[in-house]
Parts: sequence; C-alpha cells; structure tokens
Amino acid sequence: MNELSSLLQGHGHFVWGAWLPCLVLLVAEALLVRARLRRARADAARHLGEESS
Amino acid sequence: MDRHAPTRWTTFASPARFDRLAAAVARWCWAVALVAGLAGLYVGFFVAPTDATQGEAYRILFIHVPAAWLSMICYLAIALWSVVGWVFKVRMASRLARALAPSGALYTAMALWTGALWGQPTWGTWWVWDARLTSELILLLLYLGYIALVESIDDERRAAQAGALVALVGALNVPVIYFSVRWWNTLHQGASISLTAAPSMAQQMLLALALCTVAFWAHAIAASLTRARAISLEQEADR
Repeated sequence: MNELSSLLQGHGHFVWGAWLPCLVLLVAEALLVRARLRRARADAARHLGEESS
Repeated sequence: MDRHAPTRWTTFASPARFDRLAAAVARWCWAVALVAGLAGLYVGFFVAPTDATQGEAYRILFIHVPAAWLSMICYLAIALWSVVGWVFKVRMASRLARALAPSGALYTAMALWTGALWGQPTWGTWWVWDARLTSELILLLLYLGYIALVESIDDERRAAQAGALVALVGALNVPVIYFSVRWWNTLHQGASISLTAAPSMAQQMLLALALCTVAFWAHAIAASLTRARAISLEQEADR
C-alpha cells in the first residue's frame, strides 16, 4: 500500500490517468465483443427457427 | 473422412469449423489475459522499483509499450488476412481482418494517450510532431478509415476488397513507425528491448513488461476471434 500511496504523490496522477482508462477500455471491449457474439448467436438461432417453420 | 490425413490450413476456412476452433482458443486467451494482466498489475505497481531518472512515471510504459506493439502487429495482421481473403477468396480471412480493426484502433488510441501522459512529466510536453508520434497518429486515422469504409459497404465481398486496398496501402506506414526513431532525429527514444542486446532495465521491470505484453497479446487474440465469430454469424444470417 505504501507503493500505491507514493504513486499518488509526484507523477501519480499521470500513472493513474494512463492506466485506469486503459483498463476500463480493455474490460469494456471484452464485455462488448462477448455481448455482440451472444446477440449474433440469438439472431442466428431465431433465423434458423423461422426458416425451418 | 480419413482421420490420418494431414490437416490443411483451408480446413478452418469453413465458418463452422472456424467457430469451434476460435471458441476454444478465445476461451484460453481470455483466461491468460486476465491472469497475466493481474500479475502484470501486481509486479508493475508493487514489485518493480521506482526508476532513478523517470520516477513513478515510467510505470506508464508497462501499458504504453505493449499497446504500441499491438497497434502495429494488428495492422500487419489485417493486411495479411486481407491479402489471403482477396487472393484465395477465403471469406473467413476477410472476416478476421475486419475483426482485428477495432482492437487495433483501441490499442493505437491507448498508445497515443499513454504516450502523452508519459511525455508530459518526462519530456515536458504532451505532444510533438516528431516522426514516431505523427506516424502513430496516421495509423489511428488509417484504422478509423478502414473501419468506416468496411462498415459502410453492405456487400461483404466488395467491402473486403475495398478494405484490403486500404490495409495494403496503410501497411507501408508500419515500417515507417518502427524505424522512424532510426531514420530521423526524433524526441522519442529508440527501442528499449532488443533481441540482440541484453535488456537495459531491472529484472522486475522487465517481468512486469513481459506480463503486460502477454496480457495484451492474449486480449487481442481473444477479442478478435470472438468478434470474428460474431461477424461470421451475422454475415451467414444475411446470406
């Protein structure tokens, strides 16, 4: 924790300003592509159902 | 089917087979990205020592360097898959190229953003129009142009051909980015890591950089394969 608190002094805001948005974006991209795949799967299943009926 | 017959690379050009393989690879890559990312965060913030000259600001490089590497590698991969898709008429190759673009654009934007935040405390400026920074900005514009072009054309084959042209022409910018620090007198320093020379940084710093690089690679592969599966399903439904 000493390391973390020392980061808040000096250049800490630059470090957090770089890391935090990047971590958020990486996680957001992961969630978005997985959501897109789930949506595409559901659409494909519905499409197949319509074709077979 | 002969079980002992050698597997040809075109086997995975079938969307169904690609989907099964991509699902398995992506699952592992998501796990690797999470584990390596958390380990990289721990080593980067709690184990790696403060740099003697840059202070704490150097910790930005653990995310800046992998993002910059991946920004170039993703674009080269787009160009490669575009050529394969165009020359061999392989739909999945073009879809992979298309799937790589948003991730590549994200890494490029991250490299520029983190570079600016590192540049201010280290160089005393957010931005300079030197060769490395300018060519990286051009790469971001190329990504955005590629994405806009491919998404604006409804016909998949025409979109892939138009995208391939942009990808091929834009790929010329990648060696310019990489060698810019050697070709021109730039503010940006040369490569920190070399295959032919011993690393000039502490072992803990190198470990943090290696872990973050593994996490970025795994994230790029997992995100691109997952997006390619989604694109494939969307396109097959439209056919």
